[in-house]
Amino acid sequence: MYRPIQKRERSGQSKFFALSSVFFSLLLLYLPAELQETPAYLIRTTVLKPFILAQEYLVQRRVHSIEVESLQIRVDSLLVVITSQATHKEENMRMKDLLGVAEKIPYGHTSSNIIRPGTPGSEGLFLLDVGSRQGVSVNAPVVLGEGLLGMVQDVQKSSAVGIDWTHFQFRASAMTRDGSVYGLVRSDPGGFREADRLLIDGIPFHQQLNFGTVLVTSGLGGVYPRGIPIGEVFAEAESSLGWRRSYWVTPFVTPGEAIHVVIISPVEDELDYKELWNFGVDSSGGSESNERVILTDSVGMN
Amino acid sequence: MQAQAAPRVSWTLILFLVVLHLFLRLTLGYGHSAPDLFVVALLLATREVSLGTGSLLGLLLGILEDGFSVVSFGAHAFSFSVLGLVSGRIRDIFVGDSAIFMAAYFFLGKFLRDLLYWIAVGDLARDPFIDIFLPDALLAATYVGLVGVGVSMVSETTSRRV
Repeated sequence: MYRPIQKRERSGQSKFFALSSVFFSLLLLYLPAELQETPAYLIRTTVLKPFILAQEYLVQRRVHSIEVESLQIRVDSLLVVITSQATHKEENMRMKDLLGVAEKIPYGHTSSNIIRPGTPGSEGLFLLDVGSRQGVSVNAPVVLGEGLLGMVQDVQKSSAVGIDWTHFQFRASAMTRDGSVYGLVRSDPGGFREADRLLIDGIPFHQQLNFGTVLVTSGLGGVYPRGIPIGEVFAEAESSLGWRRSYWVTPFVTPGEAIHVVIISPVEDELDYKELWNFGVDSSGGSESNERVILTDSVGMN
Repeated sequence: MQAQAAPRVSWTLILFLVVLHLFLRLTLGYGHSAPDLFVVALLLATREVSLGTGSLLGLLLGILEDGFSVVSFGAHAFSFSVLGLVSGRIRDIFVGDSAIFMAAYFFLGKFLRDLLYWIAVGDLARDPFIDIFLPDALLAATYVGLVGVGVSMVSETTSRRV
């Protein structure tokens, strides 16, 4: 049914409301960051909630439809492995007991689906369908089978907001796999979003990286555990007046491919993640990334 | 005495555009592939409502859009509320119903909204002006212009039937 909007009116009161609206928007804009999160959270959990739930449903359906065949193959492979190694499990547990060795993956890992808001200003952000109830905390690293995707920025009870490496606030302390060269990895925006790439900066001038050198998190920043793959060096960016070098890095994880991720709880986790990604033998920190074997799903890490 | 023209936009249409915008951009995740229907809805509404109502509507739409802005909350609210105010002021200057006028109206509205957002978003989250406005913002404004003309034609046809 057609319901016409009321006819316009001209009054000082109307101008007052208009200017008040603009003033209120400025007030929101200049609120402290910690206060801004509350209204944003309220909007996400009220008005926008139906749209987010619908997107979660669609994402889940898409994940299910895409991965059924792939998962069936993996399940079949796992069944073969489990059947053939059934006796090894008990043997392994006894050995661990005798040696006092901990479990390979400690507790504190949570898997989640990723949802992209797709609204202006949310570039580099994603929503997670898990929150503090599932053990997710602020600054927790978010990883895929191929390596580091980003970190958790904000946590609610049953949801969280994260940033991937394309976000302008992304920083990670990185090193070569042998720990000989350290630097700081940050996002460098390209001419368009798909051309975003990573840059490792702060490398002393006397140290040089070969193209193809794999970079992993160093654990120095206190946010990312040591050993999570970030990407590989593909070109030198600049040498700043003989003080330091920087290199362009091709990330192992493309944000667009991230549908299902694993969130690491840094509080409970002191594992060296280098052991989880089998890159083969490399004493130089090096250039044989093509030979690396990647664990391509979270099942592999468990 | 000049007769008052009948309103050609209904709240139902505005609500439909708002829901469709959120559905396309948020639920289906089309992002910039979907037109900015918030701008279309606001510019259509401000042609019929008072200055205060238009600006308030802009503020509400902006706050909705700000739901996912972690570092620049309020930037959308500012850009939309100012757009509501400006479009409410200029509607008396630019009077016309032709498709070209309407296309220009929506084009300029969308461009102004992007410009205001770019100004308000802050240095940290801001991409270089050239990267944003050439040609992205121009294409987005053209897109909104075309969609806006289509929506206003549909709205006018519907109002005539009623």
